[in-house]
Amino acid sequence: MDKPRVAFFDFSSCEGCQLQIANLEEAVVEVVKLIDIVAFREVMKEHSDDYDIAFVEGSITRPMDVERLKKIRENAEILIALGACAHLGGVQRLSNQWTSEENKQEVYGDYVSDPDDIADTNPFFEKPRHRALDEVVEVDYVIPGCPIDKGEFAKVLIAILQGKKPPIPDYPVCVECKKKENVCMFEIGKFCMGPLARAGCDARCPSAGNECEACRGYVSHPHSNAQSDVLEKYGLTADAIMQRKTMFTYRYEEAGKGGD
Amino acid sequence: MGGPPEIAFDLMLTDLGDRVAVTPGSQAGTDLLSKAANLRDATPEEMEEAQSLQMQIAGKAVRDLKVSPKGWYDLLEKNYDSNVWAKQAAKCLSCGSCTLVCPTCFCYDVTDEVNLDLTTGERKRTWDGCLLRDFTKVGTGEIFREKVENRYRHRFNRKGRYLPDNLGFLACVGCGRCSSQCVPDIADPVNLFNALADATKEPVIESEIPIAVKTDVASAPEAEALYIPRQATLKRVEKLTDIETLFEIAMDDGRPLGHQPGQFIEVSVMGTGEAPLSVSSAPGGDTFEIVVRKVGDVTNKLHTMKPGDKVGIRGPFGNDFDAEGLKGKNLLFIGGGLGIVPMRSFLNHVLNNRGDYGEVTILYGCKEPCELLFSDEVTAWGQRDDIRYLLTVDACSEDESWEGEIGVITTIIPKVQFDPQNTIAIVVGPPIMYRFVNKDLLDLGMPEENIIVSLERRMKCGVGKCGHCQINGIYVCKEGPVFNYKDIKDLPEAF
Ligand code: SF4
Ligand code: SF4
Ligand code: SF4
Ligand code: SF4
Ligand code: SF4
Ligand code: FES
Repeated sequence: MDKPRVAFFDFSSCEGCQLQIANLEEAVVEVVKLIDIVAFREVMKEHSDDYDIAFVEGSITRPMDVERLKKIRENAEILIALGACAHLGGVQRLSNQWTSEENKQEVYGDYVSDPDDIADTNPFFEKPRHRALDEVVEVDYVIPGCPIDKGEFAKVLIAILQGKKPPIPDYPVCVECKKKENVCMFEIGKFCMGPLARAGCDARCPSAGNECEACRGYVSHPHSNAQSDVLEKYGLTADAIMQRKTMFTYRYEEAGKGGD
Repeated sequence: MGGPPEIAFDLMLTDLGDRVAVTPGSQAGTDLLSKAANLRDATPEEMEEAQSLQMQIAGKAVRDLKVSPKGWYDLLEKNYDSNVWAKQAAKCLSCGSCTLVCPTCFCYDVTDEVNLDLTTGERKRTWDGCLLRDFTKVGTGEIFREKVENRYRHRFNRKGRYLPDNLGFLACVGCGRCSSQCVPDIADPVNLFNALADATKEPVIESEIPIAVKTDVASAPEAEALYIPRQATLKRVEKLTDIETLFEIAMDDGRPLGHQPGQFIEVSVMGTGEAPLSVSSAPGGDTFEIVVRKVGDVTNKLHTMKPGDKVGIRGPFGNDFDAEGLKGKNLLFIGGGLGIVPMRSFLNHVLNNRGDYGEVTILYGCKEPCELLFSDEVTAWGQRDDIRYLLTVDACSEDESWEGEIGVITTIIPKVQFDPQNTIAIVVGPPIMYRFVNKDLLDLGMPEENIIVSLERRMKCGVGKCGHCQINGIYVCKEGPVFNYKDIKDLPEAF
């Protein structure tokens, strides 16, 4: 592939992941030597629908999003989910626990002058349900994390340009955490989802003294029950355990409940 | 309880809070200490404080081992099938922490990292650990220790049996790092060995822990030969099927590879990585051949390469089919799928030196006709009257033409005449094949020692260091990949 044409897209998201890329700083110079960026709303005005690789950020929420994503899939040879929203449905997926009516009531309450404005008849408000990209179209690769790690973005890009499978690890964050010789969160009375979470972030949070919330999703074979036992042993209630397991990863719980 | 721990040490560090007291315990320790900066002699008070702390240590060990380390070997052997493993492993997170913090764990992985210029990069060695699920995963996707309890059991066996066997010392120094880092608290060797002791009815036999002898330390030039790839050039690239390609390779330094039939090499594509591949050609000659199935990064990359392109080669590694020792014997080759690739190095050697061997029979099977490799050579078998062969496919679709048999490989074994007592079977195929083929051969009255197999495992380093290829305590990369069935049939992880 010589100088592939690359486009960036966003759906329901905070655009934090795209910002990570815009913030690549000096590495940007190297990156633009490798690819032609043809669409990137956050940094440029031009836009083209002729691209090879699409990086897509955000969760898929409404029927109009589904249509737009399918178009992107048609155009792109390689489609890559960028960040937790695209990979898992993001924190916003927690809203799937309630009906869209309940959510609209919670958010807009009585502050809308005309209820029709936020009714399903308005395509922007039509049946909002958060889904990950791969629940709608085929996704070739995922760059996990909230936000993504810019170093990992570069690694994935290099791998794709080399014709390699992007090196996203399938072992837990604890591995990287131990390599960094951190004090384990459990040792200082905190809780941590590192044993389930997929590594690749260099144990970003525990290294800074924070609990891992599994923003990168779980490894392919998470030992979820063993983790619940641990959280319980260290003093979390069933409710609190569920909260830990849903922050970024409600997708898995929803699947367990028979959701999609 | 009292007295400092009665153990041999080179240096003992005693934590005095804001200072550390260092006590030498051997000449080596004293020598090392003499090279250290920022040291001063301890004051009498400090010495006394250190001594008093050391006196208290034994008293702090509140738990006792029910079986002394001298009994661990037997304890582990007796309890290989104990339900203790599964019970404990049910709590395991497969987080790898116990192995990553252990001072005697040394398994590693190697990856190539490329910079944004796409031309420079680094080959990096990083820690790996046998508790992680992908530790034994091979290119074709097979995972040889898929169950958590098997991985969990492997670690303790490695500490107490496998490494003592291989290196001559018990691989647990009792530091307690694993137990302090395992959040479900199941990594502690004291607890585990005591649980095994509780589960053991018969008396545990104690044996001397072998004295550490460093037999396996390579000198600097030897180590370089082990780890640094030699540059080689692709001479010929021949597509065999949609997913398999043959590469003929020549070493750039002009030295031939020098392999024996059945050995393997590590092939590097710089920037992509390294993969273990069997040499498929008979020994001798200036070039050699490998056959590569597209299954991962390295093999995919190889498939894009052309004659003239460069690769790196380490090896040959491992043992071989013993072409010398088998001279004069009747040979029955049984190859399934890609198994024909390593088998071919020996088969072609036998065919080139036909007079040296007795009867030669070849049974070769694959899934469907389009997967048949080396069809030209198979046709050439047909022109010879000094060998017999049968081909089979598991299934054949309507639109493919096929003149051989149809059915799995075991269905053609009864179709050839051979004297089981006086024939050596060479069996190479996918993991599942061995169970069935070996059983049928034994049922026909073939002695166990007449069956020779070649096994696939994750051969990452190829030289007995990285730990990935182990079948129980056996290093496939050094003691295999070729085994006599009799020697490994009792290894639970072998077949
Ligand atoms: S994954 Fe996180 S940072 Fe990225 S767009 Fe979603 S919310 Fe923002
Ligand atoms: S802090 Fe979290 S990620 Fe690190 S070792 Fe402990 S549990 Fe694992
Ligand atoms: S440590 Fe956990 S929460 Fe933090 S970035 Fe990594 S996966 Fe996400
Ligand atoms: S106690 Fe033994 S097994 Fe555990 S970390 Fe120390 S040496 Fe390793
Ligand atoms: S035994 Fe403990 S430390 Fe080791 S992998 Fe299992 S949970 Fe992690
Ligand atoms: S391949 Fe590394 S030890 Fe055998």
